[in-house]
Amino acid sequence: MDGLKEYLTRKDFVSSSEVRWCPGCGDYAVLNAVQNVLPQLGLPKEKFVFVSGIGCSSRFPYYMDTYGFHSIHGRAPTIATGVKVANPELSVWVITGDGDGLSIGGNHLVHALRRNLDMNIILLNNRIYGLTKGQYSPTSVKGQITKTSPYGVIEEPLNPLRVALASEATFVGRAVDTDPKHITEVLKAGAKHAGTCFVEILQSCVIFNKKAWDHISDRSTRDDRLLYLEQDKPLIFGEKRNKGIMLKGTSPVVVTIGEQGITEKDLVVHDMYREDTVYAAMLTEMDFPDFPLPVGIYRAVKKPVYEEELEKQIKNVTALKGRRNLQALLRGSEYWTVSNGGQDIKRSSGISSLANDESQVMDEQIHELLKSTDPLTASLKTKIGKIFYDYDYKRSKVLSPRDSVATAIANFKSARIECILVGDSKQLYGILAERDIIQNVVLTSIDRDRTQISAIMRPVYEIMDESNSIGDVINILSISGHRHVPIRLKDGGFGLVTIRQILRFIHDTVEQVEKQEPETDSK
Amino acid sequence: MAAARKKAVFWSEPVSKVDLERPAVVQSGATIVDAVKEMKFNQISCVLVVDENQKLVGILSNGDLMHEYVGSTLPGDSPVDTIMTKDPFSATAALTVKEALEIFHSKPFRHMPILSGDKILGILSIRGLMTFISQHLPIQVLNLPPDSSLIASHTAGE
Repeated sequence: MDGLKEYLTRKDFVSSSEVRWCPGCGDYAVLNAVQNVLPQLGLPKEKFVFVSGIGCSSRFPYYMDTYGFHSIHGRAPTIATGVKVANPELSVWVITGDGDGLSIGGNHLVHALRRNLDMNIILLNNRIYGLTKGQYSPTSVKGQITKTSPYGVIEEPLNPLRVALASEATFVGRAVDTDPKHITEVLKAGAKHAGTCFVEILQSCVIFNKKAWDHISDRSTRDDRLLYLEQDKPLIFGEKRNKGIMLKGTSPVVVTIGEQGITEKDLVVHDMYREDTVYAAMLTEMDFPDFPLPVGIYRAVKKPVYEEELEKQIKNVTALKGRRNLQALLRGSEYWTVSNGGQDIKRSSGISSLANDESQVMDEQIHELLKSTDPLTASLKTKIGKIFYDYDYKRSKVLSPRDSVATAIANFKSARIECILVGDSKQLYGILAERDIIQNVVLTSIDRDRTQISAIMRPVYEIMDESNSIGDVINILSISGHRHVPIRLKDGGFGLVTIRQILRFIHDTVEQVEKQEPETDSK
Repeated sequence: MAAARKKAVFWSEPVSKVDLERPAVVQSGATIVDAVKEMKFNQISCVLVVDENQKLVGILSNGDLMHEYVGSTLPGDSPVDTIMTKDPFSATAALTVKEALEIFHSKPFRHMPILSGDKILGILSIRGLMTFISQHLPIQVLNLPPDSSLIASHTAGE
């Protein structure tokens, strides 16, 4: 394997595809850096896989002469996870951007990072959606003018490194597109790291966000505005290398070496191997203009690698339980054979391979509870159609929304009901309760004859069917806080089930039960 | 059987365990309009009427208003006393859930003042009672999808 190093060169990784990035795009710097790093890793060419999502940067796999997958928007980390788990020998690289990685695939990125597979994720951050021609992205800064924020972005931008730290990433780094040599160093260290390497690369979009990072990456001011992190070295920066970072309490401050008796020894010393994220998080808080922007490796800690743990687990379980059979699992407990164009359906029950599965035991317990033998709880499964016809159904009144309030009042008075449905046989528009009438008639001086019911009715919260159970109705009444629920009748039209009907049903059920079992009660 | 034990316990619980509603209260002699305003403010469908010693003397419900006031010639500034139900049915906090169920089953009202001596503790409503009962049947009523067609009919792999 070692011999391969001499054979592979940058050129071996350059594909013949025409590069479609705009001249001047920062993506080129990353492409060059990656093509420089790969030959140094000592792996044969066929072991490299590049997976990307959607975006300008996601065209990356075309330009690498390796295996690759230009995949689904935001899902590169997930597809890469599958690639790596299926074949842990591969060197897997994810190329994503600020929109693809943090917006569309924000969730996928977070979970890939926390799993800590041995793969590399490069996030090219240009603070804009370039491929779709200039919409603001999750990293666009406040006030940034874009096509979708013509008066300035008003959202707080995400800091990709802080997202990575919060996701328990084990390797977190940052580099700037104008310093390809540094990108190469960081990527090389990241590729050698056992675990997920996350590197943010700050780069400009020459067309839509030309000056995204000019303030820090411009060659003339770079030394004063960037802080290159070096292991075990004090945090020193500046063209004259005379500025540094010191801790004042728990906060970092910029100091000048030689002033007020400050020497190099007073400065914070960089330690990327720190287990906790406190120090790395502090670095991510530092930004121009109050601080120089740190670049380099923020954090590199050792933690168990997902695919190794998975392999170990499979080995252990296999040793304990023997090799499992997928077909037996799929056909083990229950399956159907559908034949004759769907006419014949045969249900088969094999010996369950999950007989001792805890989840099934739990399922059974839940269903045992649902199959309660208590007469009252069992009665809750009664269909509401039944209680509707058994209890007072004649008192359900339906009026048209165009009927006057006076008509509604006459109905309330003659039928001694507390609620009227508003609609016709096909549709229900609302519900009118005594309360709505009282509050409108007593507290306001509406014209009862000319005001239509539709002006004072309230919307229908839920319409149930006759086939719903009493339990369902109680559920809805408890959730909604109403005293009635309309039901759709089988033969057309609507009816009303009230709490009083429900309570009468419960009362009668309890009474019946007590009549039936007086002996058990006296015992 | 767990279900049977639960049943026995919650039927004999006193209504003080039920969430009583905070009552709307007006003084005897208050106007009908003020009483309705008080009901609206408290979002409750009845108002209690008390005398100068804060002793309960009547109750006025939406039903009373509908049948005695709306459509009548009574002016809105008439005292509530003219249409309220005098000496309303009330109970103490010792009333059991079972007894409350019996009362709501046989009487036409939906709200019942709960008293301790002359002190008004709150209002037991028909909805409060149903909610209480349903809370004792959470697995069968509350912790389920709101549509029975969505409940799994048998265990996985059964």
